Amino acid sequence: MNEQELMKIWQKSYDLEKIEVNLPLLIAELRSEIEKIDSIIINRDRSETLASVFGILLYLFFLWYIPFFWVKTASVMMIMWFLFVIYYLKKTRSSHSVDFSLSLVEQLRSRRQYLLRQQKLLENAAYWYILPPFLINVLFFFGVDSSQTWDSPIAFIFPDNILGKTIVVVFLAILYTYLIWANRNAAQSTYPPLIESIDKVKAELENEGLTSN
Amino acid sequence: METSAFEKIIQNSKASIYRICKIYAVKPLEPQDLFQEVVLQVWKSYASFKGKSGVKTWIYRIALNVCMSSKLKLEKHRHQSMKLTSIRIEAEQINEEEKARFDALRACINELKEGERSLVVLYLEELSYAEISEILGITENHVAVKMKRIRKKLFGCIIKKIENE
Repeated sequence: MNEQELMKIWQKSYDLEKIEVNLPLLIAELRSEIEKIDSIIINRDRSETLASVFGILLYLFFLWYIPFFWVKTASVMMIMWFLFVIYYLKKTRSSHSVDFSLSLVEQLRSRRQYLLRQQKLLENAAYWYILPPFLINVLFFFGVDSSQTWDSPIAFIFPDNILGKTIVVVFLAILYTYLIWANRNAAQSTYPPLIESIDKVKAELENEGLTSN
Repeated sequence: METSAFEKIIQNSKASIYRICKIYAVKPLEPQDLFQEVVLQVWKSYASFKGKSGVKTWIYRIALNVCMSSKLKLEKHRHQSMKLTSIRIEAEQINEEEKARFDALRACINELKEGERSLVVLYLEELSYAEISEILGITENHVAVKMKRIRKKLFGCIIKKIENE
């Protein structure tokens, strides 16, 4: 077997199974596919923003309605946190657009950096996504002053004794601990295998030589 | 987007793209699913194509990047949802001998490491070392060194397989 014969086997493989493309229809389908993908992204972003807007409105209501100083402070902090989450998620997502026309090595390098950023985002979720609302909620529930009388139809939602407040905080602590565990677990099980496989291919391509620019 | 230029690109490169997709498609993904994804990415990237590299190099870069991403499972759940009716497979009259030879070649390519596989498909597409270097992002010298070794492995494997038939 020589090189020509090998090339011939490769080239002829297309003759076994051919691709037929209806070009005018393809263009119409591609346009509609891109619109579909764009609308999925817009809807996902919109629903995340709506959830945060709902949270902001709820805490704006608390800020206006509940008379206690520490509850008002917690409400302002919570609103700021919601705004931060909207900004942070938007910023993180906008920094990732896959450019498939890069060289394979550049593509792998850019994918690796993106995956590392995503892994870090999940691993650090405790510090920016989970702990702040937990601490703010502790302040919020303990901020309801038991010594003052507060006559309101929603007053029953907020425990006014230490035991009731402790139960709420313990419940929140369990919930947030679970969220921290779930995020760390997802970060550890999803990203390292992908990063490892990228490193392997990069090493196979790059060893014994220098990458070109 | 200039649709006639895009149509010309797809028409001229569909065979090459499909051959590469046949190597990288892993069940349950079919080669035509990968082909569709490559075509979609060509369409999306066309607006930003500045002609700095040749069309041929650009197409191979996209095809290889899409196929590699799929193989390494970097883009989960992406291909299954898209079904373009404008792309169809036409099964030709099968020449058993040709099919057996291609199956042997495919098996040998699959025995190579992932990085080597990307080199070998471009070599089989009869691209020059300079073009392969541009597509992969490694030096031309490095392509030559690697290809010497890969060619040896590939020939050793296929000769053995064909003799055993």
